[in-house]
Amino acid sequence: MTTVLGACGTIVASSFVIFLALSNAPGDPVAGLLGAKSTDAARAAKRAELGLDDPLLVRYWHWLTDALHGDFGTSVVFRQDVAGLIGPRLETTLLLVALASVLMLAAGISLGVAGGVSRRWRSLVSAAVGLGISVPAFVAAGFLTSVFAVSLGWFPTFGAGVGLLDRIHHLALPAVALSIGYGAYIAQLTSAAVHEESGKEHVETSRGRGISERRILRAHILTNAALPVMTASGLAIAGLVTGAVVVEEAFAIDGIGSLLVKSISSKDYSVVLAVSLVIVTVFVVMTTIIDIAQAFLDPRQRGAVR
Amino acid sequence: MAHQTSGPRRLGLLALSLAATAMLAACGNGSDDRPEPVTKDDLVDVLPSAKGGVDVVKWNLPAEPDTLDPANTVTYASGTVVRSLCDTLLTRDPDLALKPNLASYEVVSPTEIVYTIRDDVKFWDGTPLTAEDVAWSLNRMRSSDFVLSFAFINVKSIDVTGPDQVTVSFSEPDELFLNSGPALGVMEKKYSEAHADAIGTPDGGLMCSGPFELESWSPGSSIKLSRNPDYWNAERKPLAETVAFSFVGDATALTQALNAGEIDGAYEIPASAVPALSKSSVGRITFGRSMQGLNLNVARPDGPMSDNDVRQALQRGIDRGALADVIYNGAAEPTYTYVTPTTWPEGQRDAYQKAYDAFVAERKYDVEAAKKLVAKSGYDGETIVLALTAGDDTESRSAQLIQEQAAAIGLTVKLKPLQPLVYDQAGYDAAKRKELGLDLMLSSNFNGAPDPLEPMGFTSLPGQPYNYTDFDDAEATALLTEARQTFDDDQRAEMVIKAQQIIEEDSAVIPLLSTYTTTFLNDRLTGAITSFAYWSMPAMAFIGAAK
Repeated sequence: MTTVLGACGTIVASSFVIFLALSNAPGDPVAGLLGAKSTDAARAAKRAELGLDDPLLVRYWHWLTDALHGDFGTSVVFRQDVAGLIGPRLETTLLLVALASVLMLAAGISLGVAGGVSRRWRSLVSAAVGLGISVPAFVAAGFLTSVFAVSLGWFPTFGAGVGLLDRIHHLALPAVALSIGYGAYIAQLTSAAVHEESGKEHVETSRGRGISERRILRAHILTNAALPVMTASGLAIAGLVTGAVVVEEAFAIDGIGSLLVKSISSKDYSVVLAVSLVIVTVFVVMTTIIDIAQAFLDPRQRGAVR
Repeated sequence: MAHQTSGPRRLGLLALSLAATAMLAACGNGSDDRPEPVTKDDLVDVLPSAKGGVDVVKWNLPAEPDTLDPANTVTYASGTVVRSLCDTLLTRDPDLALKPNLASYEVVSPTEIVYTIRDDVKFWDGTPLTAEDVAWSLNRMRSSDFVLSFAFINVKSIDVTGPDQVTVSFSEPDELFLNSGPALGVMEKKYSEAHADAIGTPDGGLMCSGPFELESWSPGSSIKLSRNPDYWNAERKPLAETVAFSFVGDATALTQALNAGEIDGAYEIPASAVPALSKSSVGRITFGRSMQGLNLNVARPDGPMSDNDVRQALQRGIDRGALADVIYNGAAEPTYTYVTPTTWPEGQRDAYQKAYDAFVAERKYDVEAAKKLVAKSGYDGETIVLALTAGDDTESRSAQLIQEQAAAIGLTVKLKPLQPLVYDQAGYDAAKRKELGLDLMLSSNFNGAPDPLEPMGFTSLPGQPYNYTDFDDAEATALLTEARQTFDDDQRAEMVIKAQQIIEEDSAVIPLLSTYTTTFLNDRLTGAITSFAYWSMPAMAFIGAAK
């Protein structure tokens, strides 16, 4: 219960900070709406209609009470319900993040384990990690597109597709581009954790007792290394949601990331708030899940989370 | 209506239709061979006619339209879509003459125009178009809620005056209103009233009579149009069954999608993508004439730029040719007056050309002459602040080149990139310009009609939104005002040229480039209009099979 209340508090506090920051950012949203030829009177009327002249707290209160009723307002730019704008884009972004998470975890953990247990693999894995961490997602995006989409023609160059299979086809390259950085981070962390665990006394003792390497790996090393890896993975998945902003731009995928960028530049308050809250919520949910999972995996922490 | 914009992003003004174009007539170039690389010497304004229909044309827009409401259609993206959906009151043909479209017109007196509505036009739902629909659509646009309302500034009333007649009355004669006819999209009154709050949105849609019907708008991914099988205008019967618009804004992503054949074509290709697309093996890039321009506007009446010698020094000290070649990769040409030559009315070109040649000679790139002007001026080394829109690569490189060239003649220029909304606000708000300390603004503009009155009025009449320097010359004002009330083309040209002489002498705007419309089209297709006229016509209707 406290966890849930804390999460809600975090979300509401974030919304207020975002609201405040947006109000203080320079630029008049009406400038974008009515065009440069509009008269002063028309702009004043529009401002009044949109409630932009009300005090900040009044505007925030209106937004908050509406939001609690599930009404996230109307986009001033698209003149459309915010929920209707975000819905289809959120699906796209979540699928992209899900694909990237699978890739990140599969590649990151298996590379990490390989690097952690095998001396031969270690240097190879750390070279791959170095490369993966240093290549920005948009550079990877350009490279992947020119090789696998333009030259080889295996994948489409842009867009999000229609229907599940087509969507996965469209989102495959973006998911790879998105997963590289965090995948390298997970590989690095897993490798270090596995390496550390495999040097521990009880592992050496087990070896001395002639227990098979495979069994040691499963029973001792991986179980104990899982905790830090799990924590990092949860945060990495939340990080993928923000990383999606860059990748969506590069592959011209209209997800919530590119919507956020567009809405910030036009000061489309209700859209910025709603998208930001989706992202904040993902973070809050992920950290809560990590807390619970940690408690579950680590008996010492059991009872810490209720 | 000339329009200052923050770049290609927001076009602003209207296009009263387009002009450009005698060139459409000169259509040309029927060769089937692979095209030579384009140069600025071969502007093409329409590609060879299509040989037949196609199932689908996949077209890219520079951004997702914010609305498809014809009354708010002022961006490249929304204009491209809406003109293929909603028929306009009047239209223009390739020879630029104003032509009847949904209506024919008669100027019955300097303050009264009567439009006669066609009787064979049906909306997509089969309902016949009536005078009531036309009057309702025009009256709706007059409301200051809509961006196009500025075109109605001198309109007193719009009434149905007969079964097929709409009369527009003016408080004072307005030669420009007629020119705005090609921008005024007509919608069905009944449908539009029933969907009042949602017109032009993905939920509310539209009910018009154009060559294509709006099939679907999936926010974020695509807008689809399907052919209107009963379209009334035989000359503009659509060749494609469907048109699918995508919204790829990133230059690299767009280049790759065009090269992979996933997108067939696009207008307003970014200058940075021109080199890569010129070498494409699947399609061709084309430069077409356009009434778009790039200028430096003096941003306030005081400060270092208030010295006319400093303004003249910039006129001479910027190498416009280098700007066109290096930054725009040939997709632009130097221009020496605020009114770009493509905006001259076709019948009066000779008179305008003669006046223009004098400015070309006087403002030719000459570093020594520019240095002398700076030395003679009162300029004492102050920093000149040049505002530009942040995030536009082409504009930012242009500004850097200008900064370097200004330094070479002894002027210290500091660049100040502004976020788009801040830039837009500075565009109409003198207090904002002062607060930001702006001396110059790099701005793109375009003229909607081949009518120099449009751009000149906005920058040079007292009290107008773009008259940043408070320019107020009684003679120029009298000439421009009289010209707007003069329906004789030759007489009007004479007045405008005289006014131009006075206004250009003041140099409150330093013209730089006339930028071309840059189009890419896959080799499987042809027929596209490739001048800026595309923005004022149902451009998608002309695109069809190349073989």
